[in-house]
Amino acid sequence: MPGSKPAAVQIGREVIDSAALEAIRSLQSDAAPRLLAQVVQIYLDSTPALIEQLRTGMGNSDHDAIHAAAHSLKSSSANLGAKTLADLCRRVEMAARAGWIGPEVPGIHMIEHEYGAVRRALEAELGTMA
Amino acid sequence: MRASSATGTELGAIAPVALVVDDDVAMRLLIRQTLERLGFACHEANNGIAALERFDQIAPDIVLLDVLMPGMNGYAVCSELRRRPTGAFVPILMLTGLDDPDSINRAYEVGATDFISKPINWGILGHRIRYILRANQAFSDLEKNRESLENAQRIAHLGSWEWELPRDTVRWSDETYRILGVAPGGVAPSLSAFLHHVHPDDRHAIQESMRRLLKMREFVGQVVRIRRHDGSVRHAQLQGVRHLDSAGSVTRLSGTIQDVTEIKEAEERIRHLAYYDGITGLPNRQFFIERLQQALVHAKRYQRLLGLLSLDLDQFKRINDTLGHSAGNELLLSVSQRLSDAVRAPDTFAHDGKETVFGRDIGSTVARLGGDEFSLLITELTHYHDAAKVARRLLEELRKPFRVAKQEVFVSVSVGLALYPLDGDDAETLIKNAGAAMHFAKDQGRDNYQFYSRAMNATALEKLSMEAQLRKALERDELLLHYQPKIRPKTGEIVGLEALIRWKHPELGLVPPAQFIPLAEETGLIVPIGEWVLLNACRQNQDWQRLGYPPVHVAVNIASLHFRQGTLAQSVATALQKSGLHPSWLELEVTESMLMDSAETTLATLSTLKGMGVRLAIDDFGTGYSSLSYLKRFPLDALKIDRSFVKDLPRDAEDAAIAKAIIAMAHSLKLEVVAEGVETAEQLAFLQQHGCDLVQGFLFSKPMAAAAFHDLLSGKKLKTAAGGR
Repeated sequence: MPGSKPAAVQIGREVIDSAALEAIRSLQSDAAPRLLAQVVQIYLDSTPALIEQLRTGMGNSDHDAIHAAAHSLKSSSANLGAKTLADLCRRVEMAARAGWIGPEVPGIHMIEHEYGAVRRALEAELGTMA
Repeated sequence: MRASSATGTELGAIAPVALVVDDDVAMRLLIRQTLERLGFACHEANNGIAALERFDQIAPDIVLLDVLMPGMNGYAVCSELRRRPTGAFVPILMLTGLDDPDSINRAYEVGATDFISKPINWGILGHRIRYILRANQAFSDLEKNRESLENAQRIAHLGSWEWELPRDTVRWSDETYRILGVAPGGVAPSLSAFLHHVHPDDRHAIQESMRRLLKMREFVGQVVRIRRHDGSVRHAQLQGVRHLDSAGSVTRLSGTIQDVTEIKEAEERIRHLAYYDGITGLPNRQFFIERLQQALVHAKRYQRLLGLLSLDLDQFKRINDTLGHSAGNELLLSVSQRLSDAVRAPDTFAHDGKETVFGRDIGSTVARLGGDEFSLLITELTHYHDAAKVARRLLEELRKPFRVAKQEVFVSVSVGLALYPLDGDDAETLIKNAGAAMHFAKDQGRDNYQFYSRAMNATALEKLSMEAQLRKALERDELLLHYQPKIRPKTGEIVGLEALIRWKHPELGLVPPAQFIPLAEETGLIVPIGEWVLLNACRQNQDWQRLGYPPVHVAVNIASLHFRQGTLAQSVATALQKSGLHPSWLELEVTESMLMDSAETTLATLSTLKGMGVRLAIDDFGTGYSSLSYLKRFPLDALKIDRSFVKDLPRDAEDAAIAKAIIAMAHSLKLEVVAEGVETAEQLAFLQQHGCDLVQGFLFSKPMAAAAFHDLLSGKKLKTAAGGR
């Protein structure tokens, strides 16, 4: 594929599944030539607010808020192939739905940390597209 | 080239509309892009409430719906959409989590068509949507087909039925129920349930068709009557076919039932329009000509007389012009009713007030040929002057005032008559000639009738007046009897008298029998006249006996019509009873031809009369078949040699031989022989020489009034005319 680039990779672990990005890139057309970049940008713009919602929710033990934010972040992360982050969010979402956020549930720092890796990988991706 | 237009052709000329509902803007963007590549026009909503609003605005062909959204979630939206009439069949795809089987189940529960799990595999989403659309299209096509078939069947009143033989289950379509007058599913379908709704007379035919269907491929076009519970009757046409399995045995019968009541009624209306006049409801020209042609075929075969009357209203144009067309139509209708009533009236053909020779039905057809022209066909016509009688009656009826447009209106009619076979032997000629006669009637000053044959007009008039007067003769006692004696030549004594009718007309004087008896026979008046003769002859004879004169036979001539009618015995019994005369003094003279008419009933009638004790004589012998063998069969007492054989006796050798043979033959049958018309001594001598028992004729006496016999009877002897008249 003409626009394809090597995926951003960290040593020992894949932060982003490049196949997911490829699938989105394949939807691009003359009508929407920068679809992937748009989707990535939307993700990068909206995620900090979700993490903030998650943090506040955890501080207040507001399970509904946690559930909604975790679900959204899981969904949008999975969409872009951020499997590890999506999995972390899935575990938080399930716990919130069950009403019990115990010590085994990933904490906000873990999620922030992983998002940092995802963001860097996606920004690198945007850089190659620009 | 735009991807949307390339794929647009795939889905049809008009771009299908999709509604994408997701709170995630990136998701909407990606889905929109996918759908637009497939040729969809996309609309978006980012929450449940907005989704419902959008749905109602755009009526999408497909909905992609996220489950988890702030506020109203996807399940609630889906349920809500399914409740809408427009949302019942729209494919709804729900976007669910792959790791969440509960959400997938719930999606189906709320009516989702299918689900798409997240994260969405963008590579195959397009295929999924395409597949769902195609399946939905097939489903809705099927549904539409079913609906349109059902509609077509309902409009055509066409129901169907199926009968699975092995399981003995019957299925009826909704329309089948409706044709039977039952709510769909209102009864358990079966053959016997079906037959329950069929007219009893038609049930057997259906059972027969079903039986036949087991042997034959199909049956078609059987029309039966359906009786609904509300009492109405419908006509239904049935068809059936059988279905075989691979082994060739019948497994299933199926067929249709169609309500053809309206079709039948329409056919009837069409037939009516084609054959009947719209204003009067009478047969039209077309129908009339066909009827006339049929009647002609019949009349030719059976040698019957037909009468055709052409009628034209004399003042129709004036009424139409002054009172208007609708009044004109009203008048035509009234005229047609009066015409129909007049020809149906039982006394139209009554000959004597109590006996109608050709009774109540004259086989008539009244038709409106167009404009103010009517026509009447009479098929049961025995005498042409009866046609004149009908014409007179119609003239009389139409002279009575009509009520049209709330006022009294007077019309008259001009009538032309043509007769088959006298005035033509085909429909066209007869109609033309009746029309010509009608125009002649108009020329004659309207309000009258004319025969096509001019000579008939005169004689018809004469006959009509004669008939009317003869009818009155009975009432006015203008008839009288003369008597001619029968003599035993050996002794010269009177042994009997033949009663002979005379008509003493107040102006014409004595009318000879030859002038009125044929008319009396034609008109049937002969029967009441015959009864009058019987009664008065018996009374006269009884009077003489009461006065002490030596008893004699009185002989009465019987008319063939009276004999044929079967009322003769009753008339005789009445005359005997009223007069008090002993039956043995009454003699009835019948002719050979009367005996020949119908031997069986003749024998019965004669036996009855004989049983009453009256004498029977055969009159005018020698003029008919003169068959000895049949004479033997009847209980006769006497035989009268016709005057034609007597006239030239004894000079004519042939007549002499015949007379001799008749006398010998009669004697061998033990019949008394009477010779009529004896006028000379030579004749008398010859007859006496050959053993003739009695003689009658001018040689002794012409027929005379009863009073003249007082002297003769007291002596009971008559000298010959030469000696004593």
